[in-house]
Amino acid sequence: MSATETVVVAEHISKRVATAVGELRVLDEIDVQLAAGQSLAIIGESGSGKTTLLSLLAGLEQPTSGQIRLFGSPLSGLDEDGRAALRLGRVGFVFQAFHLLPSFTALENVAAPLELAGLDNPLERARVALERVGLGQRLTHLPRQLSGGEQQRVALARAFAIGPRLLFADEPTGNLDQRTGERVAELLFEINRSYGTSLVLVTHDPRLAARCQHQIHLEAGRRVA
Amino acid sequence: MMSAILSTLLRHARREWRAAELKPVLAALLVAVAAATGVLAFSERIERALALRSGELIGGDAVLSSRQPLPRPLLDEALAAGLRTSSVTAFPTVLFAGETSVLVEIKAVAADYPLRGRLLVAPADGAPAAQAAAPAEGEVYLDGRALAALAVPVGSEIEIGNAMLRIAGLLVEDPEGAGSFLTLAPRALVRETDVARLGLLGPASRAFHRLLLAGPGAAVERYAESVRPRLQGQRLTLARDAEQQLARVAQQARAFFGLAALAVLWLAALAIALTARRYTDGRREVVAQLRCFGLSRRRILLQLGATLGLYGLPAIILGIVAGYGLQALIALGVGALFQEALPWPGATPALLGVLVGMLAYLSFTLPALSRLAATSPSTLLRQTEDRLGPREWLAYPLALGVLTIAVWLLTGEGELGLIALAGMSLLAATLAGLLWLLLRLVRRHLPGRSFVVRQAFRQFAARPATTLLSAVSLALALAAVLLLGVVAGDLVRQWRSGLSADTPNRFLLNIQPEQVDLLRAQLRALGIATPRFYPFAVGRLIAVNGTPATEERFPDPRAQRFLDGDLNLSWSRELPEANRLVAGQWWDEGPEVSIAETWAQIFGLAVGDHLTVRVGEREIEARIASVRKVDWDSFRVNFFLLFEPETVAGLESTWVTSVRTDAGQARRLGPLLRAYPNVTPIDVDALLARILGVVDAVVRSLNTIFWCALIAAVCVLLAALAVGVGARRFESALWRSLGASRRTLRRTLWLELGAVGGLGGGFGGLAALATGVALAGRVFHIEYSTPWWLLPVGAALGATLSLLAGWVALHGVDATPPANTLRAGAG
Repeated sequence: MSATETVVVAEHISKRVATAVGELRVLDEIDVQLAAGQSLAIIGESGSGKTTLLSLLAGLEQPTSGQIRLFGSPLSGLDEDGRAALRLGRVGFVFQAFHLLPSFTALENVAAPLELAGLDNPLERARVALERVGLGQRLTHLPRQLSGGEQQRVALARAFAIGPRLLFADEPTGNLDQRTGERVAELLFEINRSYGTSLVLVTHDPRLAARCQHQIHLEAGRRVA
Repeated sequence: MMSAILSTLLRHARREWRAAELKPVLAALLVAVAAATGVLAFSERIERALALRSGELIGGDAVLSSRQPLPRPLLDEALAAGLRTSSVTAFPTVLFAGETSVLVEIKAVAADYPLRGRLLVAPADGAPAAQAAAPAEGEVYLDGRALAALAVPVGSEIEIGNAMLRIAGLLVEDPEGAGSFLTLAPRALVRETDVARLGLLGPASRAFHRLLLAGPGAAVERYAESVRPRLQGQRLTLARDAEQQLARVAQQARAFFGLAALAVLWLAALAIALTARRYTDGRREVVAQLRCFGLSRRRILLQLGATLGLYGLPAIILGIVAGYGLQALIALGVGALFQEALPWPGATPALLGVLVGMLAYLSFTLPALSRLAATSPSTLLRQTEDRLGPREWLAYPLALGVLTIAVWLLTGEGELGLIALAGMSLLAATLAGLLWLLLRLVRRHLPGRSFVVRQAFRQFAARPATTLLSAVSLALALAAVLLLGVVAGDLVRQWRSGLSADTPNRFLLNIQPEQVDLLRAQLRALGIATPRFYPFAVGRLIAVNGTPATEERFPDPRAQRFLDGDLNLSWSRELPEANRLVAGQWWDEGPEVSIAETWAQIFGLAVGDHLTVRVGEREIEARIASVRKVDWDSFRVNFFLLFEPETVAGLESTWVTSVRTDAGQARRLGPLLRAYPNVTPIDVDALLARILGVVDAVVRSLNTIFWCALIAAVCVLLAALAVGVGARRFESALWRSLGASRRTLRRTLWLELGAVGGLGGGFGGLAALATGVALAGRVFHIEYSTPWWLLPVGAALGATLSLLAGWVALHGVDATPPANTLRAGAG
């Protein structure tokens, strides 16, 4: 794997937070490297630091120490807006709790990042993306009018409609039943393959993790495998 | 069992104190009570001051008057009721200084005269006047006209009846002096003991007896109620009814304060409704959990109600304390406009404040509470949006209506409240309807190409309930603020200028017919606007429709005044200014008379009826050709009876006019009038100044109340924006995770807030304007030039306020790292 093809690199990153009983070490000296088009699963028990690692890699928060480079740019020198600009049009997210805009329709939710990136025909592209996840008949529905599986598929459509180079998925099937979860996972890997999108996936599910090319196993903030 | 429930309720209440959303509800309640109490208390102080001032005009809180000496039992009863009394006897007599003489009205007064108001006496003509006691025995105070007519200085001796009295001072102001202008002759004030000692009043003398009464308001009212049915030939006048001009000022002032109370109260009630909604939003999950655990809806409602009650009570008490502080603050800026200290308010405003506060609290929190208690346990399992139900949408306008009726009852200003409520309801309904249409349109066809513009409009349309709530609250808040700050101020100023610009301040009486033309020319030469002169005769009403006019036939107490006294009448070819026909025609043919509307009511007269009046030896019968509405407080010469000139042809008369003079003209008028010794000038500047003083006080206090309303409006806005702050924080985090910069999000937010603010503000301006026009016409009866500029100014003010409130309420919603917010989830 050459450095030019690497989408995200983390070197010796740690995250510590102050609590009432003293400092808590959430992540300790973690290294990560992911090449374009490849997939990485972060696994571990609850509270092991999986979601924190994903947030750090995506630039949603800052590490206490260590270096992260996203698409070759170091995140440490960037402020909040600089990190947002780096993600714009290149990064997609899928969250465990879906996190759709509650007052936007399915179509508007998917079109939002397209408009933000200034792409042409955002609504048309959003419609195509929703049809691709099988929700062509649900364009004008609000999130509360959709089932959990449907909401997660809208979130998926929103994530890939922009054609991201890197997709972060935080327990994407955690809130879904087994069958719906499998469908969503299938869609996720299909996007990973057909668009050449790199995938960082946080999951409890060993079968899902096994489908990824790389795995990081965390225990109490440390990488154990 | 009871104690277990009680301790659970207390525990629940203690826990709820930690909820951040509870405190704004209590703050809003405190503001509501403070505003209502403060404005009502101040209004009461002004009313009490005005009542005292009316008292100053008649020398007491009430006056009993009669052509016969007053029966002893009436006096005894007044003393028994704890009232102070002072008797006054007035009669005409001639004063002599050497060969010169003048006919004056002598007023014989007791040592404690007057009971209200003050006597101002100057030691010499032109010297400054000072407050003085009643004249001592053997002394007399003469007014300027009497002194001028006798051409003697203060200190000289003059002859009254068989005795000599020393002139102890020049009478400048006498509480009874500013009353009915046309009956005033030059005046002299003596001690009543001198009347008997000098034998001034014989059994055949034509005297007028008055008993001044003063005491606590309730005692005076009780006395009036008790003696009124037993009066025979006596008349009882209460201070508050005594002066039409001052009574009108008091009524207008009450109307303004009623409006102010209403506006501030509405704002505070809105704030209660909004903060209560935010409180219940924040408690939904807790309530859903409690219901999951098996707690009944009634029990939950009891817990929530007990909590709000427990904390609401101290908030109301604090609000009353703050309200009394507020009125003291307002009085501080205004009190100097009154000659004496403003009377202290009683306990009534506090009681009313509690009543209004509880009403607002209950009616604006109960719908939200009942909705909260009904939260379904399934909320925990499935994310649902809490939307306003039809019951809530109905409950709020209903509550606003109840509150308005309450203020109506409190201030006695029914029409005012109804106009304001109708204006505001119309505003809310129209704005909500228009916005709804606009939101639908925007949602389908997003305008613009830039992300910021499209996103702002989408946000605007995506949360219709919040947008409607913010825009309507802002519109109502700004309408109230503009109504109070601009329209009410404008109304008062226009009312004031209507009163001061060309209001006559001098009456000239007893002008002989042959002097009219010359005097008119001379007044014009002085630069005084050419006044209208009216002939003036004194007569008596003897028959209505051919049947004698007796007190038995017209028992209305107001009718007796016209039946047992002289009747001033005049004639004119043109309809005088400050008069408007409400029925009939202005001169048709045959012997005709036009009557004032008041007369039509008192005597039950209509066009076509006949009146017979005796003037000297002549009887004049005329058909009522028209009924006039007369503006009695215009300070112009006005008559109840105006005859068609041919009808009274040949009748002897003097002439009367009223003029407006500035200080310079007044100085030059004095020497001019020396050439007309028969003409009696009457100066009403002092009365005008008093009235304008009250008007100024109203204007100044409205300014203070305006700032209170503005602060309340900002609170409302903050509360409206705070309702959606959780959702906004979450959405901001989501947008940033998708790559939006904080700058983009802020620009979107500013545009959205500015649009909502501008729209709401523009509508607020429109509503204030429309309500102002309606109030000017229907309540204040003044001409009002429509301030169209309120529309753009309202819109700009709305946008600015919305942005400012947004900056305060939403400051930092985009500051939390998105990871934290997304982990915590929506809300």
